[in-house]
Order: sequence, then C-alpha cells, then structure tokens
Amino acid sequence: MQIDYYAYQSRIRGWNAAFKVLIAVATLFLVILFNRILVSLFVVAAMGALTLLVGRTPWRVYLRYMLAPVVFLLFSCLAVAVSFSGSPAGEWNVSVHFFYLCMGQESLEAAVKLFFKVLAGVSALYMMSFSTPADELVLVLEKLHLPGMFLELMQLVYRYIFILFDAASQMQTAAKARLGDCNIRQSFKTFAAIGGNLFVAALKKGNTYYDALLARGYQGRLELLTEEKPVRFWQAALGGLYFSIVILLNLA
Amino acid sequence: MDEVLLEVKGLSFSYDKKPVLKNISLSVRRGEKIAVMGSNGAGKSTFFLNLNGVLQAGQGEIFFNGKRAGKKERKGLQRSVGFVFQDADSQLIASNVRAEISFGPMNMGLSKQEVAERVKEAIEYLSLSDLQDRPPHYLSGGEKKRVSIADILAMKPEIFLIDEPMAALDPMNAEKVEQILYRLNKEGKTLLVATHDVDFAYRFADRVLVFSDGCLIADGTPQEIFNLEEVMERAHLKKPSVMVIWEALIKARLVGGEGEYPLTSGQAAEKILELSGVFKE
Repeated sequence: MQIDYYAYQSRIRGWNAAFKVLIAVATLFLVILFNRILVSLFVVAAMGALTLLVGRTPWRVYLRYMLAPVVFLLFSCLAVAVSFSGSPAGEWNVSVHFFYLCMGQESLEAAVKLFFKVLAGVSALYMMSFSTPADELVLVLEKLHLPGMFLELMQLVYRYIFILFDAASQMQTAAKARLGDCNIRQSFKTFAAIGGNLFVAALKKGNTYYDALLARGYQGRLELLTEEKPVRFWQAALGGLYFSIVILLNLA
Repeated sequence: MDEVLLEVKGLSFSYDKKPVLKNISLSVRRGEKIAVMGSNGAGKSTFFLNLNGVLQAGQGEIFFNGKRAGKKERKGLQRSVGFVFQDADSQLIASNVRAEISFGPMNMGLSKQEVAERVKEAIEYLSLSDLQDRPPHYLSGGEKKRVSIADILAMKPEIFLIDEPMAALDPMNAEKVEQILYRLNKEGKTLLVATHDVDFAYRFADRVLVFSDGCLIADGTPQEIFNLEEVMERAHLKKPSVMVIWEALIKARLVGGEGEYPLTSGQAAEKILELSGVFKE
C-alpha cells in the first residue's frame, strides 16, 4: 500500500509507464538468461541509482523494502548452498552426529549467483513499483490487450481498497479507544467483529457506489480520460546505454 | 427567469414495498436556489435519485423542459440533472483527479478533445490544478468535495442536486463550497441543496422545501417556512438564529418590523448600528 504512496512522490513518475515496465521486465529476463554475478551486480547498482538518485525515493524506505526479500533470500540461498548427507561430501563438512551438513565449491557458487540474480530482479521490479502508481500499470496492461472487464475490476479494486482500509483502520481505532485490545482473547473477538462489520459496510457502500456510477451515466463501461507521457530522447538513450552495458558485461 | 425547468407530478417511490416518497408534486424554475430540508430518512436523497433518473418512480411523472422523462429519456435526465453525493468517497472512482472528472463526460459520448476541454475547465473553475494528477485517497475532505463538484460541473447540467455539501467540512472549506454554490447560481445554474443547516438555508436559499416522512410538507420562501411552527416541529428543524434574534429585537421595539430581515449576523449588525446612529468610520 505504502509503496504506492512513494510511487506518487517519485521524480521518475513522469516517465512513460510502458517504458519503465519494459526496462524492468527486460532486465528480469536478461539477468535470468545471463546468470552472471557481474551483470547482476551492475543491475542492482543501476536500478538502485535510478530509484534513489533520479527518482529520489527516500533511501530508508528503499532499504526497508529491500530487507524483506533479502532476509528471505539469505535463507533460501543457504538451503541451496548446504545439503545433508550421510557421509562427508564436498569441500566443507559439519558433523551433526546423525548426518553431515556439507557445502561444495559448486553449490556455494550457485547460491551466490542465485542471490545476486534475485536481488537484481527485485531491484528492477522495485524501480518500477517505486515510480509507477498502480493505475498507470493498469493502462500498460490495457495496451497489452488484457480483457477490459478485468482491467476495470483492477481499477475499481485499487480505488476501493483504500476506502476499505480507511474504514477498517477507523473501526480499529474506535475499538482500541474502548479497550478492545486489552487482552489476547478480547483482541481476537474485536478482530472478528471488525471483519463482520466491514463485510456489512462494504455491501452497503457498494450500493451507494453503484448509484453514484449510474448518476453519472455509467452504462457498463468504465471509460476515463488517459494521458500519454511520451518517452523523451534522453530517456530512450539512457535505456539503450544501460542495456548495452548489461550485454557487454555478459560478454566480458 | 420564471421558466419552469423541472416539473414533478405525483411522484411516489418505495424500497421493497416500504414507501419512501409519497405523492410529491412541485415545479422548479430556472435559476432558483432551493434548500431541501427534513430530518434523516425523510426521503431527500431518494427524491434526488429520482430526479436524476437513477431510481425509477413507481408512480408519477417527471417533466424536464416540458418533456416527459420516462425510461428511455433517463440518459437525458442524467445529462441535465447532475447529482453531487454527500460522501465524496462514494462518488470518486478513478485513480487520479483528471481521470475522475472525465468519467461523466466520457459516458455522455463526447469526443476525447471535448472531454479534455471540459475537464480542464472544471479543474480551473474549482482551482484544482495543483491536484490534477493526485489520486483521490491522498486528498483532504475539502479537496475531495471540490473534485466531486467538478465531476458534475464537467457534465454541464442545468440543475445541480447537491446532497449536504457542507457535511464534515471545516468552516473554511464549508465557506469555500458555499462561495462555489453562489457562483454556480449566478452563472444561471439551478441548485437544489439538501441541508440540515438552517442558518445556511436561511441566508442562501430563495425557496425552501421541507420533507417529512416521505411527504413534501412545506414549500415557500425561507421567511415563510421558518415561521411555520408546526412544520418546523414535524421536520425537527429550528429557527435560524439571526431570525430569532431579529424577531426579539422587533418585539422589544429596538428595530422596526418593516423591510426585509437581515440574512446574516453581519447584515444584522450593520442594520443595528445604522439604526442606533453609530456609523462605521
């Protein structure tokens, strides 16, 4: 949710959304295809610089968002690097009485490669999410000819998710103000009550929303004015330079 | 100015057999400022939804510009009668202000160019230029209200139905909205404003409609209506404070009873100072 808020603040929000999506997705494919630490490192640096230096996303926020996948990644890479065995195998072994924890040069290398590959992918996707609000992403999907109904649903869900969130947090505050969270038992009860209330409130509000749509002549198609942000020459040039470096690094 | 724009004849409406509107008849003339009053659940919002064509009346007829608005003409009714909802959040659907305002005009089947023009006009009219790329959920209450008015303005209706425009706004934003209403009216728009604020209705409206339990129980100028004690009681309304004080002053013979009553506390103060011979320097 918060990532959307930062996307609105980003200085690279004005870039063409399809262009940013293209960069992110193409990068993702290239790092997976090339699978080289050097390429991955360059991508992490380039995408980080774009998000932090050009986009001016606060680095604290960026690091906090990076932390979640990194922790997850560390554990999964550990699982790749280390294997269990009945007898000593590989270059490094630790005996745990019943079995051996082994790690070989090869598996270690694979794990490190994997770590940076995923990190590169994450940083490319973060570049996109930290600079492109969800509604602009929907427009990109529209260009890819996804079914209209699906896209309209996405747009409405995106809008109403915030309203639902608001309502939920108000109910939560109101419950807290009446000691609804004084102990675990009570807070479970409160949680259930809020859930039930939200459901009823959503149904009721849904009716009002539909009336409001009809009042403005809704006929089953959600048509809105959209804005085209052209890709500027220097942006395209920068993109070209970036991809050339990625490819050259792979050949190096 | 005296041309009848909208005419309602014997309108009744029920939700699941529960009557909400009972035999409402009235006519609205072009350029009127009408306050629609009545307690919660008196049928004001349902009445508005009927006028706008969202709800189809069980009985009765609505005429717009002399033409009967039936099921087929519902679209026409929505073009000419715009409805600004009370809770802006239930009206705003798009994820940025420009797209939001374009929704109504787009539904009217206008060309993209025309839509863009109207959106621009509405944004300027309500001074929303700084906010036009923002999503509705990062706007304040007053800003959301202005966007919800711009939504309807861009459809260029002749009649605005506005449901409690000042509800939940701080005094400054309420004042802003009130100025917008005056401006719309001055430019020839006909306004029907549902409100609980008697002081606002008294100073703003040139006609007051009072609903109670689904019936239209009174229809007249603010001075007439706010003197009908029985009506006021039935609709749970109070007399505007300026009126109460002015009438006390008349009774005490401190001011003359002739002429028009002042509409605001400022006007009253001026009249009193004038009468007592103390003039502003």
